[in-house]
Amino acid sequence: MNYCFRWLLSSVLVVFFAGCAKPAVRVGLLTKLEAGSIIGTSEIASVKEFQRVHPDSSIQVIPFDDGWDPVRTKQAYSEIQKENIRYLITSHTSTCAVEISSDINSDKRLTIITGATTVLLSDKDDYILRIIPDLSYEQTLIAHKIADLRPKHVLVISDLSNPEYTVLAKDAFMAELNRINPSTQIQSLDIDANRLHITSLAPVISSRTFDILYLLIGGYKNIAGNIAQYFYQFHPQSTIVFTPWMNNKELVNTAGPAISRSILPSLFPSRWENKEVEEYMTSIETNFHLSPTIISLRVYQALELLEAAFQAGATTPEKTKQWLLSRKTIDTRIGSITFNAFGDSTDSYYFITNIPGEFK
Amino acid sequence: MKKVQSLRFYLLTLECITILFSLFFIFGTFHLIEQKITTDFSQRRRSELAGIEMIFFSRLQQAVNNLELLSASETMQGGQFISDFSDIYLVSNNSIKQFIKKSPESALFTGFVFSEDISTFFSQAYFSTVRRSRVYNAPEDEKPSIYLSIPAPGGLLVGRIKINSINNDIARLVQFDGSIVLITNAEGIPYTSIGGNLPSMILDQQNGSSINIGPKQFILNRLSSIWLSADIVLLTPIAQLRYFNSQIRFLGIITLIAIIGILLLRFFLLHLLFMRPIEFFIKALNQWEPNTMLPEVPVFIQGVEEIQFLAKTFYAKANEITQMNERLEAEVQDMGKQLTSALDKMLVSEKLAVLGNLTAGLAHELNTPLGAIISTTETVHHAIFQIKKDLNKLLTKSNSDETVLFRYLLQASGKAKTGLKERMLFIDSLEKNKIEKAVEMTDDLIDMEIALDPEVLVKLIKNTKDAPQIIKTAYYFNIIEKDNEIIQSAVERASLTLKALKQWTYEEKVTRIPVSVKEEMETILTMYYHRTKYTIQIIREYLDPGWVIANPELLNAVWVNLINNAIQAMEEGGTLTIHIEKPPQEPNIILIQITDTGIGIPEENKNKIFTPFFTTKPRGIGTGIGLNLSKRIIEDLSGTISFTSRPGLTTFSVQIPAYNNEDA
Repeated sequence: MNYCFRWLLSSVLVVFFAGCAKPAVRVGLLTKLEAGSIIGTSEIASVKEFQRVHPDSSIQVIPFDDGWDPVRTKQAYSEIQKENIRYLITSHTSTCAVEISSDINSDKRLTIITGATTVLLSDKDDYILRIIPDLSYEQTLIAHKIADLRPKHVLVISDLSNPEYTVLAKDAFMAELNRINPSTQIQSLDIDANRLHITSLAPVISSRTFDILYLLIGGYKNIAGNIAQYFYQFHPQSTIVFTPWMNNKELVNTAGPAISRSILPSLFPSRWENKEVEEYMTSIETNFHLSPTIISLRVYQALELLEAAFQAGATTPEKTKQWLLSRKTIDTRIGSITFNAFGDSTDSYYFITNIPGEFK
Repeated sequence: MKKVQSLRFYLLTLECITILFSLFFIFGTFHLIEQKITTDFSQRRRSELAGIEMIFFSRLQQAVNNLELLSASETMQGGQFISDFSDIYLVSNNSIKQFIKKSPESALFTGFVFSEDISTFFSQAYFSTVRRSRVYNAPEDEKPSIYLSIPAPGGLLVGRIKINSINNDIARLVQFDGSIVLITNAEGIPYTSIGGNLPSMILDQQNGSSINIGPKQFILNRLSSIWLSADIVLLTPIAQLRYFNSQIRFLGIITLIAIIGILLLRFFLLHLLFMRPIEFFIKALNQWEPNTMLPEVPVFIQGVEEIQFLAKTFYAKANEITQMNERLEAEVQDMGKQLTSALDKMLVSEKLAVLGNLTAGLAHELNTPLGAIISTTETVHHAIFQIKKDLNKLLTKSNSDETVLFRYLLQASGKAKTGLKERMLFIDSLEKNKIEKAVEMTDDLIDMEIALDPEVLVKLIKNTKDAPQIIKTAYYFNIIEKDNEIIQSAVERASLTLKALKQWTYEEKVTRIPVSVKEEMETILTMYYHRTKYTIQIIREYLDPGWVIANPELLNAVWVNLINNAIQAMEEGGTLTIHIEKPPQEPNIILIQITDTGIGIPEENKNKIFTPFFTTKPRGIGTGIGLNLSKRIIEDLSGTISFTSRPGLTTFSVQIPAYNNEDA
């Protein structure tokens, strides 16, 4: 009798506690998962860091490889539709983001974008939240930074292999720079970073003295470092400005001595100036033996935003979005996020000059 | 008491235990085979990994040799030496001094300054030995590459080998089964993948663990390659392992199904060959009516020799027991009859003994007074006869009217029965003649059984002055005479009863002599003549004199009883047939049959008629000892007595051993 009773009680308790356990909330992570690439590896490290810091979180991250290719992004999104994952974090280029934006909104799948800065997604009340400023805002700030250096001649080399970003960014940059400093002469050169013979740049680079080289190259294409070093050979006193996308250790390996003349816009302050960023970067470097891309920090923040919403009781994409937008500023481990009414972030940029110091 | 279970229960339990052990055995075997397959699978993977490493080794070794030869050449030219490398250049002071070979996609240029990571590798070059770097994401094109370096005139000769260039050889090795090969750093972060793309999710996966890449599941095997200074990770689709395991599982299930099937078949056969015949056997036994012979062993039971033998043996023994039982039952019945008969005889003997003593005493006590009465009545009868005789003589002499009347009355008495009509006519005659006391006189005359002849009697009475007194005197005289006869008859009857009782309790002490049944029968019929002469026809069928050896007195008692019963059965009249013969087929037997056409013996009394003291006659008429006495007398003569009876025809047959008179 006692035996049966114990069994019955155990069964009831098991059922009770099983019922009390929080159901897992699946969150898709759409990024480039390619061997040999720091991209993806950094994002996965962010996810694991989040799981390490939040062991009781109900979030279950499921990564999907989009190869940063629009076609593969579409295919990966089809998998997400099949899996009926209702929350999504993307860490890819603008081209990829634009490809699936309409599907996201028709599916009412709450998506937090951490990488794409295209203005095509800006100022829309939809299911896409973006915790990275759009390129307009980004290029405005870069233009202001360059303008502050009072250059006479600026060379802008833009990569047309990612036109959704670079074309619009160049227009925004040049417009803003012309607006605030009309006397600056801007020369632009379009290249395809995937098919570049670096020595072919010599005629342009050597044609005159450029005070500033703005390498409008996104997507962690580290050839930007080689170009910077090549440019440095001709203009060792000039300043080289990168886009925020180049914030990774490979840039240091390719830029050579040019790195000392470089300025790197960053969504986060320098690790030497910000304790939380330093702590985060050290944790990733120690636990996962890599120097993460700076964008992957946004992935970590996106996870903490969702976790906060879920902890607040949001159970659907609508309620989660509503909860996130209802707060002007949401604190995360490595800084706060501020949304406007359309779910776009308006955070400031930091300009890092000691780039090698950012990576261990 | 130990609980009894059916054979089927034990068989089922045995089958279940067998299935259970089979399950344990099959699953245990399956587990062992699965482990073996897994181990074998892992060993094969390790062999593959070793093969992959050997590919790298051979390529690197070839490149090392070529770089040495290239560095030794004066011009540092030669297609045969540079084909292994994508880029070859001279590095001096950590920057590129001269390109020997440059790949089209390389983003390096003369004067390119290497970063601290690679420059550290360059700075560690010593003597003239070729050094090999770890895998770098090359600054030329971000592709994972290995650098070989050797001091050469004018600087450090550096050759870059793109790992991807070796991939094709490895891809050929692994593409057939869908495996993926990864080259990772010591921390597990991949440099490149061959055979498929791979997310950076295997940083901390242990050797032998399984990981999911998209819809596929892989088994991970890792090898730390000293040639690459990197890890080679081989991801093999688990489908291969599952295929073998599924084959084993299928085999196990088939085996289990086969075992269960065999067990079920065995149970069915056991049921069919053993349990069902046994059940059938038990059913047949349950339906077996005791005291009847068992049928033949059913065909159903004949499948198994032992069971058939068991059934046949049982049937044979049961039939023997049945037969024995029947014999015993017959013997018991016979013995029961004998016992009943013995008990009856003993009871009768006991009764007879008591009755014999009683009868002897009674006979002794009653015979004396009866003898005295008989003697007295005879004396009275004789005296009355003398008185009548003397009175008649006396009255004859007197010759008066009174005398005439008186004599007439004495002579006429006892000769007529008178009806009412005659009585009334006589009374009318007397009254017409004005004779007083006519009724009283008439009744007296009727009582004296005198024929009422008016012509004679009326005249005599009229002529006699004291006729009423004379008639009354004659009447009283007649009463004395009749009463005396009644006393005499009653005494004779009592005497006969005593005699019968005495005969019934006889003891055979008298001497037997040759007796002719025919003669004895005639004597008896003579005795019964006065009872039979008016109503019963007697038919005599004497085919033989019927000589037997017997006590005539006792034997006559038999005939008296039988004839007496026959006469009593025919109160309304009938035919009595006496048949005596010596049957031709049995010449030593005298058959006597006494047949009547009376009412017959009721069916319910047929088995009781020889029982002592059984009688259907009114009390005082029958004693119930006659037939029993007759049976005993006949059986004492070694004869038999039997009867057949139906209404209207009853025959008693007596058989007595014949006596050959001529021989005597």
